[in-house]
Amino acid sequence: MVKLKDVCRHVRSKNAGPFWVTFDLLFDGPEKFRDYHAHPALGPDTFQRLYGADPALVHRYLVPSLNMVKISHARTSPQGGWSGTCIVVSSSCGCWMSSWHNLFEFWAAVGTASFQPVPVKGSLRA
Amino acid sequence: MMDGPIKILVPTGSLGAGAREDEVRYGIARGAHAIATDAGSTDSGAAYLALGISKNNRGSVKCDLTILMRAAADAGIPVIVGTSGQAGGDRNLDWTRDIASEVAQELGLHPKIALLYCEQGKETLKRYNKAGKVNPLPPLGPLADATIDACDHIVAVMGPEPYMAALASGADIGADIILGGRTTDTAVLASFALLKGADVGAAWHAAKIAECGAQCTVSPITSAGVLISIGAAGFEVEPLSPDNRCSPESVSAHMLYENSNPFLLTEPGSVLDVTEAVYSQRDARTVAVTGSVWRPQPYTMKLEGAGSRRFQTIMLIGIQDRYVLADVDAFHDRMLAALYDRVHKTIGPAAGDFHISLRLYGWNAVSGDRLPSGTAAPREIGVLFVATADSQEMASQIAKACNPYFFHFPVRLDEELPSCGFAFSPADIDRGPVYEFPLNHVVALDDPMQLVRTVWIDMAQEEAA
Repeated sequence: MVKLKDVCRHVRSKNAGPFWVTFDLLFDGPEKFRDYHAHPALGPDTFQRLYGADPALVHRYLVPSLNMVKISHARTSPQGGWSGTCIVVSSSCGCWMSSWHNLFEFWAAVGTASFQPVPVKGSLRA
Repeated sequence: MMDGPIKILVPTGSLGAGAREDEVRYGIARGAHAIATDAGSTDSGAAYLALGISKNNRGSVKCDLTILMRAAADAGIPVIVGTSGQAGGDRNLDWTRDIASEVAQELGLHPKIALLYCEQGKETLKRYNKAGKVNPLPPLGPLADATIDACDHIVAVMGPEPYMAALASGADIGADIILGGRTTDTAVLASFALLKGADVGAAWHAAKIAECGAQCTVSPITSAGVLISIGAAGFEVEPLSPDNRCSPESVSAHMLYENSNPFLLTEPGSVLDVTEAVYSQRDARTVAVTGSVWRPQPYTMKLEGAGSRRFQTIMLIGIQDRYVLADVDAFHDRMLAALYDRVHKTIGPAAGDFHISLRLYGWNAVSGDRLPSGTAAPREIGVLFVATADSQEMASQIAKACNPYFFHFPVRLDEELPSCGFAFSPADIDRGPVYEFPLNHVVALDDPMQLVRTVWIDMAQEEAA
C-alpha cells in the first residue's frame, strides 16, 4: 500500500479564517502528482467522515505548477467554539506549529482511508 | 507613478513579532518608500476582539514600533500599520495609539498620525441588514439581529482606500504614521503602491506574498521581513536578510497560504486572480512575478464580530492508574456518564443546558477521535475537565459537584479507589466567558469610506500647544 509520505514531500494545514480549514499537499514531483492527485482518499467523503464536513463545502484545487493539491472545507463549528476540542491557535504568521492539530488528524485520515499513517516528523518547519 | 518601482518594506509578519533593526536598515538602504505591516489576525481566536486587547505584551509592540518609527523618521517615509492591537477594534487601536505616542515622545519625534477606526455600532448594522445590504458567506446563513446583539464588538474589515486617503491628505503632507483598525493584510501593504499608481494587480499580489513577512522566503526562520518592489508590469520580492533568499516555489507557495482558494483572493471591492501569474528567479535572492490580474467588483466589507454567550470552569486531573490507562476510553465513557448523572441529581434542572467534556491529554484530546484498538497504553494522561454553562456561577457549581468523583469513582468495583492527582487546589478554575465569532458576513457599500472614521493626531501641534 502506498503511503502518503512516499508521494508527498510536504503537507501543511491552516485555518483560513474562523470558518474554514485548508490543507496543502505538496506532491514529490510531477509523476507523483499525476498518479495521486485524484485519489479517492482525498475526496469529500474522507472529510465528511472525519470532520463531519458538508461534502458540498469541501473544495479541491489542483496547482500543477507546484505539484500540489489544496483541499479546503468549512468547519462544522467556528474556531474557538465552546464545544470544540481544540482551537486552531496560531500566531498570525508563525502558523506552522498551529498545524499540529489538523495535520495529525489528516495523517490519520489518509491512513484510515487508503494509506498508512506516518509520523509527522520532518513535516513541520517550526 | 513615481520613477521606477515602488518599494515597500515589510519588516515582520505582524507588529510585535520581532522586527529587526539590521533588516530595516537594509530595506531602507535599498530605497524603501514606505514601511507597512499588519498587527493582528483572527487566528488567535475571538477573545481579542471581544475584549479589545492584544495577544502581544505592550513591550514587544513598543519595541517594534521604536525600530520602525525611528528608521522611518530618519528616512522620511511613512509607517503604515493595519489591524492594530491584534483585532483592530477601537480599543485595540487606542492601545496601539498610546504606545506610538509614547515612542514618538521618547524619540523626540513629532509625527502626524492618522487613526482609522472601523468598529461598528449595532444599530448601524441592523439598518444595513434591514436594507438587505448584509449577505452571508458560507457556511453561515442570513444575519439575524439577535446575532448582532450577541456580539460585544463588531468591525468592518477595511480595504486600502482609507489608507490611501490618509497618505494623500492635505496636498503633500499626509500621515507620517497610519494606525488602522481591522484591515485585510493585503490592503495595508498595497495601499501606498496603489496610491502612487503602481500596477493594481501587481500591488495586490505583492501584498499577499509579503503579508507574513519572511514566510514567503526559503528560510522563514532566519529572517523577519521582505522588500517588495512593485512596477508597472509586475513585482519583485526579496528577503531583508542578506543570508536568506526567495525562490519561485517559496513565493508561489505563499499565495496558497491560509486561503481557501489558491487562485482567487477576494478583497474589498475586488478579486485578485493569479491563475496566469508567472514566478521567475530574478537574481540569487529575488523572485519576479508577472501576470497578476485585478478584477473590480461591487464594494463590500467583511464583518467580524466577537462575543460570548457561555462560561466555563475547568479542572486538571493527572491519572497514572494502570487500570484506567489499560482502557482509557471505557474509563472516559463511564466517568462522563457518572458526572452527568451527578449533576442531574445534585443540581437538577437549574443546571440548564450545561455541557461537560473530559479531554484526555496524552491520549486523544487534540482530535477527540477514538484511537484504533490495540493502541499502546500511555504512561499517564492529563484529564482536562471542562464544564460549560449559561453562567459562570453554574459552571463553577457543576465543577464542584463533579470534583469528588475524581477522588472516589472506582475503576473496578473490587479495587480500591483510583489514584488521580488534581493539579491545583482549589481544583476548579473559573475560566470566564467563551468567546466566539458569530459573524461571517459582508456588507455592501457605495463608498469605501462609509463605515470608516479617520482621526488625526498632529504631535507637532500638540507639543506647541
